[in-house]
Amino acid sequence: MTTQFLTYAERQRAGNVLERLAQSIDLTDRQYQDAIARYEAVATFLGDPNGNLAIYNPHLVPQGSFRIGVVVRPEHEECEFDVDTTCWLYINLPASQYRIKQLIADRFKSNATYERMLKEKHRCWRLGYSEQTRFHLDVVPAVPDSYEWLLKLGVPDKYAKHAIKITDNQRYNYHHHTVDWPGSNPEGYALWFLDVMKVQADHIRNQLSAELKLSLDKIPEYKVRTPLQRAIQLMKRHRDQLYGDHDLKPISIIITTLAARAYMDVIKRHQGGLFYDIVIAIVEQMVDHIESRDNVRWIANPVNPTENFADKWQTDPRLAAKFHEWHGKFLALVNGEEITKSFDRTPESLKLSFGSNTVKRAFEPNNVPSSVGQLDRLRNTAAIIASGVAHTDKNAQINNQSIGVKNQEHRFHFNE
Amino acid sequence: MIPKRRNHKYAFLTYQQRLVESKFSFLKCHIGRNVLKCVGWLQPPDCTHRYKVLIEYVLGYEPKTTVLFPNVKPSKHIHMYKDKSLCLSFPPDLKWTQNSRMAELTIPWLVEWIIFYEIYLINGNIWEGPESPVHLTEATRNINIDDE
Repeated sequence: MTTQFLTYAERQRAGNVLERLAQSIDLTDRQYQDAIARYEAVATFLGDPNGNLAIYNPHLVPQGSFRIGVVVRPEHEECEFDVDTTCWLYINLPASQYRIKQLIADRFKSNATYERMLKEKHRCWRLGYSEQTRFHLDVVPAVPDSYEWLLKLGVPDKYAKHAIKITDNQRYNYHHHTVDWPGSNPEGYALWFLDVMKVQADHIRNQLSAELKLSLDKIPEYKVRTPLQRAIQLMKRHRDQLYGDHDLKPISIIITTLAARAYMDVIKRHQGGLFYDIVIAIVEQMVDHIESRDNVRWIANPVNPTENFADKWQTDPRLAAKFHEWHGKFLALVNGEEITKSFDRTPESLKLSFGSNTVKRAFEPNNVPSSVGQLDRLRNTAAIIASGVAHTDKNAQINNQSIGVKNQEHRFHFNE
Repeated sequence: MIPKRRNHKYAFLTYQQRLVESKFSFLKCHIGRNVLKCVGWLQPPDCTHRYKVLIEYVLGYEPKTTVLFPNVKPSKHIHMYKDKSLCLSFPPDLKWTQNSRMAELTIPWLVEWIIFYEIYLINGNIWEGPESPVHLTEATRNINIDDE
């Protein structure tokens, strides 16, 4: 099951397959540009010198998968994707979480359009853009936190100084004037992650700069993707396809953190190695970074040693089991024939593993289906319907594999 | 989940709702005033458009299926009434009773309608799906007439 049995050329090919899949899982340039334009408009709006927030020197920072470049595009067009942001307000605690959250709402409500889009969530305000584009912007209100305690635990200043306190309207003391707010440090985590892959990211940026004949500062971040980011995108999509919204599915922060830790070791040994070899090594070694402390499984937050991302594994042993189940399947898949052997037609199992829209997009000769090719494919579906063996699956896909509900015979009509 | 109101209609509608939700992932259902409403967005493979649909089901009657988006021009050629609702079956073919399962009938037919509509848009506006006898053209009606 190791890569020693594949030739260099085979591993190159397998790497290409994985790269194309990952590109298909990533957002398009257009989606990134739209998301960035919207986020920048919100940032400008919140920071308007004439607005109610101006005295608190607000600034908006993207977080989460968007910040570290591991966004996974929804497989189905009807699913949504969101961009997480944190809105920093320079306000000293004690204060009431409710009050600070309302300050941001007040600013949004001073504009009729944003007011219409605004929806309250437990820890953020959500701006819903038009239904057709299925895009949300989440704004988490935050104030700076003191971080001496993190420095004492050995966390470098460059990460610790981004520690924040956030609001949670489910907390018992949500309305109280207090310092006891939930803490977080999404920017610290993001910087740690970006540092892990900094050398490779810089290298890729330089290559792009030469290829596209653009200066380094003109290369958009969303065009720079390291093997670590690609591996995480593939893993997250595979997990989504396998488990959907299942409560026990492995959470993204665990996948991301273990992969990043493994990557730190892997790149020391695979300098300039093949994409495929690096991805296999990350996946194989990521489980080695699950610690055991006094029989308790620990996946420590790299910028907060007191936080255990696997704390829920203690209370529910099924979570650990599900993680290993997913990991085993993904490892088998990337070592398996669907990836390593060449194919004329994309294997059905690959479509199941990564999503059929994703696979078609990755391996279709033309990116945009021509009308003629499209007509042929639609007529194929029509032929299946006519044959009497059509079934319709959960996602409205008509198939002749008996997946889903059997289509009954009928005739379209019209009562004059 | 035991419904609060113990009338038989609510129980039947809940049964239909559960069937829909278990078999399809793109519909959100809600029961109110003895009407089961299902709304959702779908885009079957190879289709150009995403469709927003509303299915309203009242016990014992064929569900009313309406295309909310995109803005389709209604016409008998595509089996769509002026109010954007679809005619998915020919009454003599099927008598709709309270045991008829909308998850197994209406929804697959709706997906078929979308496929045939998308074909209609590309092939120069010809409906290639199965149609009730009232839609037979002159040529087809006379198919068994001797030419001589």
